[in-house]
Amino acid sequence: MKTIIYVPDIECDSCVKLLERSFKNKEGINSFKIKEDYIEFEFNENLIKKEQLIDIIKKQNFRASFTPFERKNWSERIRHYKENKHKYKIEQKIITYTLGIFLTLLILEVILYLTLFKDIPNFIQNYGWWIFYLNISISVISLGTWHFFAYRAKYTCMTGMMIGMTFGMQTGMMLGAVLGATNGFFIGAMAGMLLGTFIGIITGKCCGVMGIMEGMMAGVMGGTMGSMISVMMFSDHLLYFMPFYMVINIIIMWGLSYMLYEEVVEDKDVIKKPTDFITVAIISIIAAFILLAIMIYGPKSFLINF
Amino acid sequence: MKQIIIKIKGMHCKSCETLIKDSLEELEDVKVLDISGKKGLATIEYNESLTSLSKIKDIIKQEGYKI
Repeated sequence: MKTIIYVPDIECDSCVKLLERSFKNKEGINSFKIKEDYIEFEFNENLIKKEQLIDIIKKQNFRASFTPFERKNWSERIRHYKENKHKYKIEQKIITYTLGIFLTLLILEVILYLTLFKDIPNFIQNYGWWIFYLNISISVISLGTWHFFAYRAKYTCMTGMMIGMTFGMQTGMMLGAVLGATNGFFIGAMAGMLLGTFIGIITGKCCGVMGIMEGMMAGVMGGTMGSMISVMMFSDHLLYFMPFYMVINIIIMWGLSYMLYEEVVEDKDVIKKPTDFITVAIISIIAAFILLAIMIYGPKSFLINF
Repeated sequence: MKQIIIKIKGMHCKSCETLIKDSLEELEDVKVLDISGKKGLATIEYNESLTSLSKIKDIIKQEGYKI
């Protein structure tokens, strides 16, 4: 009898070797062919059952099924969420924590403005939007990173690289663009590149050196490109461009969290250890205020040139 | 029983870890207590009177990994 078993986690020669060894000398398996994401079996059903083949594969920590693995579409996901809200507890916190950090930063900045910068002419015109976008960037990146670190999971090379790359790129793009607009290309590129690379490394290292490299490359690219966008577009409707730019970046970060849940967490035995709000808020506030200090007192800032 | 930590080069995924673990545990009285591809380390417990360290190393090398 012939059958196909779908195994989507076959990634490398070691996976193939491991599977080959588990099938070899198993009574009832006449032959098998390991393909990219499925295995073709020819077996004697009097000696081994189809389900036993699945068990052998699962025992080696691979997902296995007679039907192809399909990801949930949008309506299936919404239905699953409504019926299984307890499975999304950490994800629900992303929105409340993001808003919490955004508002905390805003309140602190308003207090700071009223005590230190109220009398400086055109301060709001020059910094208002950029501080607003800085808050958005910091809260979105912080909570994306928080979500990632909330799970102690094992990452495949592919997912780990995607994680490192997206975190590195988006951090660089968002912060690079904000700092580029207030302090020019050098400071924007430096801040975006260094922070993008840093976040790229700490997230990408989940799958080893491949993820680290991917995170670093994305950090360099995102940081330099982000600030370049602001500098080059400064005299050409930059403030009209920014809302679209930020919304797209937020969607990408949201997509990353969605992917993380779908690929790494869902239906898997993953340890959950989310950090509390206070810790993530303190880290975000420190990061935001260091960047604010650079924005306001750094080279080429409006205040320095004023 | 003796416990050792061996540095293994070339592991890059979960399958590499399982591959080495399974091969070593085929030896009599050898147990892989911990193996991490990320750290490149394996903690192995074995009975000195039944298995030698060189035998363990040979098996890891046979699997295509460096020590």
